[in-house]
Amino acid sequence: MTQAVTDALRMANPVPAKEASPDRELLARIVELPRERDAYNYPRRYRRWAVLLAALIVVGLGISAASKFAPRYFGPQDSDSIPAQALAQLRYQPDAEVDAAGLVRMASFDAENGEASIYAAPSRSGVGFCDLTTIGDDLSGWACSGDPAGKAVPSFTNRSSDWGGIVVLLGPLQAPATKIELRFEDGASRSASTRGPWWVYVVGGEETEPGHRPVEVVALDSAGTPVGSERLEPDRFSPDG
Amino acid sequence: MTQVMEAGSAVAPTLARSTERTDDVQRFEMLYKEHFAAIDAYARRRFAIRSDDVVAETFLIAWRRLDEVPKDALPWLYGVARRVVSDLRRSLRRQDAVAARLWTLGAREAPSVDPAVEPDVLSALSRLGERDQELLLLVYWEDLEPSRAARALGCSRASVATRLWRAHRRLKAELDRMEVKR
Repeated sequence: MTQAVTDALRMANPVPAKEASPDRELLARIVELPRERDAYNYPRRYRRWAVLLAALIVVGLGISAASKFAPRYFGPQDSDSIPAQALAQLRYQPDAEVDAAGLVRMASFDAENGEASIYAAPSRSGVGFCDLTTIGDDLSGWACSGDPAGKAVPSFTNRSSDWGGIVVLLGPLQAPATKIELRFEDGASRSASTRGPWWVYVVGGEETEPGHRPVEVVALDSAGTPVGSERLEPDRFSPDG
Repeated sequence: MTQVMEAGSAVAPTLARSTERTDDVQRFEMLYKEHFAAIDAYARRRFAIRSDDVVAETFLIAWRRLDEVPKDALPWLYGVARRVVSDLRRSLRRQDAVAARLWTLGAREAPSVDPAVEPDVLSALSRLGERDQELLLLVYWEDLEPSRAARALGCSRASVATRLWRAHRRLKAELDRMEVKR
């Protein structure tokens, strides 16, 4: 590369100076949170073996999990509330629109770094809806939608690099719909799990492979009559989608 | 006697943990103050509208994994920040039109760039793969030596040297192609 191109690249830097002063409030918020610490500090020479052993266990568990993809769905009988630590972490993000009081656990599954749980919630603005993910006791992420008006079956998809290709579809049930079904490339049709005003479907395993991926989400009323549908882009459910 | 020993054994670990935590906080504060500006700049360069989240999440991970942070912490922090950006971008790709409005609340505006300079080279850069882009930016925007960029990317120094050479070549080729099209 010529010097001119290198110079142009350097000049294109939108933030040329590293000038920001440390945000003391952020620092204070972070050190308030508990740290994860090993129960025992192994001597350095054993760590490599411990890491290798842990990696083998993780790979084994991963293979086992991949071959037995089985998300868990939750209904009204679920009494577990969101972990206190995750709530504290949510509060530490003041721009989060999630209405924490309305969080409802919808599903969980085994991710590469622990148990992932998916929660649905209204937004604080009262417009749209939100989802929130935890890994173990930790907040992993959240997102809120805009106004779903005009969508026959509002939903959004959620995925993470730590989920091993699993994709979550989540949305609000809009009257008169009482049930949601997903249709797949292979002609199969499966019901989404519903809880209160929300529905969720965890796509994984074979359902992420071409020929078996979701293609449509259909809302049904109490009589089983379709009242709305939205096409889904199958590539979105592929591991690299 | 037994009671005294029990009390002692109950108190001593608590004191030890307290001292450890103080040490951790001091160590983290030093890390934070030393590298905040660099990580903030990185976040604004890569993902301006969510830069606050990137900085907060990166340092939160550093706090939780303080035992793993190497002496030369900056490449490690860049590696964490890169994954945070990647995860946030992936979240943003929740394609449904419903999810269009979010993420911008309280976020900073994208920094302005000199229009006379950047369009061609940034446009060419955007046509490269994510790994090529990240490597070039670590070296030319974050001013990391290739050996430290290798640590940030989790690959060997030799591998980075080769990748950097290829990334240079691809960027130049993209710029040449854009020139020809005019």
